[in-house]
Amino acid sequence: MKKIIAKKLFDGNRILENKIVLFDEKGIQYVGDDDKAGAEETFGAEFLTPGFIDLSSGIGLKEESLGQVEGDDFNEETNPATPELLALDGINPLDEAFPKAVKGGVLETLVLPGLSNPIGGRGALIKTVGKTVEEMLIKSPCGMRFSINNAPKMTYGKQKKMPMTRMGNAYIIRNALYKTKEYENKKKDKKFSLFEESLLPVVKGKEKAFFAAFRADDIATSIRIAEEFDLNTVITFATEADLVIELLKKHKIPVAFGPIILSRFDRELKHLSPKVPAALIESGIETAIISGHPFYPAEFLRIQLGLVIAEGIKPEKALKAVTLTPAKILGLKNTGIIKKGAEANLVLFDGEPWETKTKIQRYFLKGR
Amino acid sequence: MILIENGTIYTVTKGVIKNGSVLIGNDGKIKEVSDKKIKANCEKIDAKGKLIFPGFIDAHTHLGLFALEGGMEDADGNEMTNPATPAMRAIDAINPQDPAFKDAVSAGVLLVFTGPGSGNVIGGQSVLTRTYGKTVEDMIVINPVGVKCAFGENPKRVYLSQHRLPSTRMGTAKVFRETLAKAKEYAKAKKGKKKPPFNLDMEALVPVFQHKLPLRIHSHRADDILTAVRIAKEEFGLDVVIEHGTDAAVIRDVLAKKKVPVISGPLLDVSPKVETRSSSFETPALLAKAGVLTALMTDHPVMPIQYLPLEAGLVAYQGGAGEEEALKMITINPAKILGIDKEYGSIEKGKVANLSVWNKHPFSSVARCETVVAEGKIIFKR
Repeated sequence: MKKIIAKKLFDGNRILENKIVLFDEKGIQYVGDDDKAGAEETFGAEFLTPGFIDLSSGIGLKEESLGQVEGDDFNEETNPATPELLALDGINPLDEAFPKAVKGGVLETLVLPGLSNPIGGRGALIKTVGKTVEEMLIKSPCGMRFSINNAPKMTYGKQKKMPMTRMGNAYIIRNALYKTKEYENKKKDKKFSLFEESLLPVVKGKEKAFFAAFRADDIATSIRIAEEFDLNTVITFATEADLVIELLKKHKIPVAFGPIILSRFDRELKHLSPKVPAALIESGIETAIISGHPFYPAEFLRIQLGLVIAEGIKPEKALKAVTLTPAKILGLKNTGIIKKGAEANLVLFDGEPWETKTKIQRYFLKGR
Repeated sequence: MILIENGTIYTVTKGVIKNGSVLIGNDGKIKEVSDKKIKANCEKIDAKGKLIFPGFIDAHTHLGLFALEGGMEDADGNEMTNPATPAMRAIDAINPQDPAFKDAVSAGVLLVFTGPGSGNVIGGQSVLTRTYGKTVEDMIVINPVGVKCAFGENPKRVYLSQHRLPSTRMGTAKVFRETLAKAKEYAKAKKGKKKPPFNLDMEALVPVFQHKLPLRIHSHRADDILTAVRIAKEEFGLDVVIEHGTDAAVIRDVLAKKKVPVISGPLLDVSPKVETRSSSFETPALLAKAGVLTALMTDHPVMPIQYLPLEAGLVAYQGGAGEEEALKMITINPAKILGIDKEYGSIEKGKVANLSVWNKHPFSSVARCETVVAEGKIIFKR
């Protein structure tokens, strides 16, 4: 048994003071005020949080410090609809960004293929520590990447292939979903098709559809398609999400917002500001904050929280956006939270986690 | 006149003054800095509980040359049609309507070095500009302020794809050396009786040989930095500033000895290529400790300009430079490198009144810039 004496503890919902946490590899055994129980090892923490969960990242797929051939496996830009692809097959556990992400408190991450294809492929939920993807794996496949923004147009338009327009983009997604429905309902002479098999869990609502959209109209299109097929949807990036708050609320759609620290190098990013995630959190929409790695380093996901706090959001709500909220969106019950029975994924900081001054002292992943 | 009173003043050159006052004259200069109350009958800013900093200087950006919220039409940073284009002038491409200028002001960044990218071995003439104003003529402080050059991966990648020289580091050095040799001859001939035929590219390099302009050389790898220094400084006796200098810490003793300044960064990004692999918040601290004159850059738009203070914060706390040294790297040090430290870079009597007032130290992620004064005028208020 290990013990942490935390001056401040963020449990997923609240920031508590002077708490004791007892845990081992099986999980968290105790959270409270009683310091009587003995432990093999005791650690002190200024600020204890659950391990951060980065809800949309390309870490391991687009490797740090490498060129396109050697280390870029983010976008399969040869076909606009590639639901068959698995992020798991492209992740390099030796990407130098992984140990850095850990240094920033990010212990779990959903890796999704890039944005070039309207249907990009299936994600992998992994831990950020391990030598093989098998060691890192929590769940694969996990989530389907859809992309409704300028990227597919820019990729295929110049190849004179569909999609050249937003209409084409929506068509490709809609057509694939209709075909999958037809495949699902076909009883006789059914031939195995990896394309439809890959989309089947999405159409059945069992696997989440992660729509990458920046502009408000693209967010609305994503929701329109999601409603037509009754998909279980998350909007990622979501630059203009605050302009369609009512729509998001009406359909109860969560948002994975970020990166916040990014140059507005495209017209689609015009609206980008820390004010947007602040407005989303304030409105009660389930909002996760993401690094969007490699657009912004996962290592400094925590610094983005400071910008949201500076907009008037309470620290506990900002912290929730990288812990309990992404866990809820992913349907994970025992992570992103510090409570009895949860996985002991813990990060010990020497100060406020969102501050430039703060360093991570130690982390535990599954109690180790 | 404006009086800012009761604030904590980070003068940079004369320490930190608690409960201090700054009086700004009608000429846009700082009239007085004091730890006592200053009596003046003028507009007052109560800075009680606030922190006052000199205007920040970003020593390397492409602000205005790749206008934000735009497309390819707005990208004017790299004239990648010839590997040596010294006559390209940043002033002809800067778009004052680039919304990033407003971002800069909102974070107290009031002066920037901006210029061509690193696609060419010799890219062209960079400027020192204000971050506010409607026309470049209003905005420019010094034009040109340096000639942008580049070693390593970027020019290689550009011209390899066009199947032209340079496609190797040797090729890059050849273009660089040959152009400088021609310019040296041209500059010499201009002084003689028989004037050479007019050549705009060569004209651009004449001030470099007169030591009026430094070469601002993009280089990451230690060997690239040393190649740049060897050719420019040793062979041609020119002034050199190293841009990025990812591996500069490895050769910090050499750079300190040769008095070569380094502008470090961008650091708050994911290392995009092989030559940036050792990118670290510790590099600026190591350089400064070794005696290298060091400044920081956002390399905007690589990192958004408004996060220059945040980057400096990470250099201070994560990289070990400390608050005082990191603050110098975005104020007085770039001012020294740019040759404007008599007028800018600190809060001192007689210097240009460029200031920002913050609710917390700007190195903090939750800090907000509340008021910005540029040349004695309030240009931003939150």
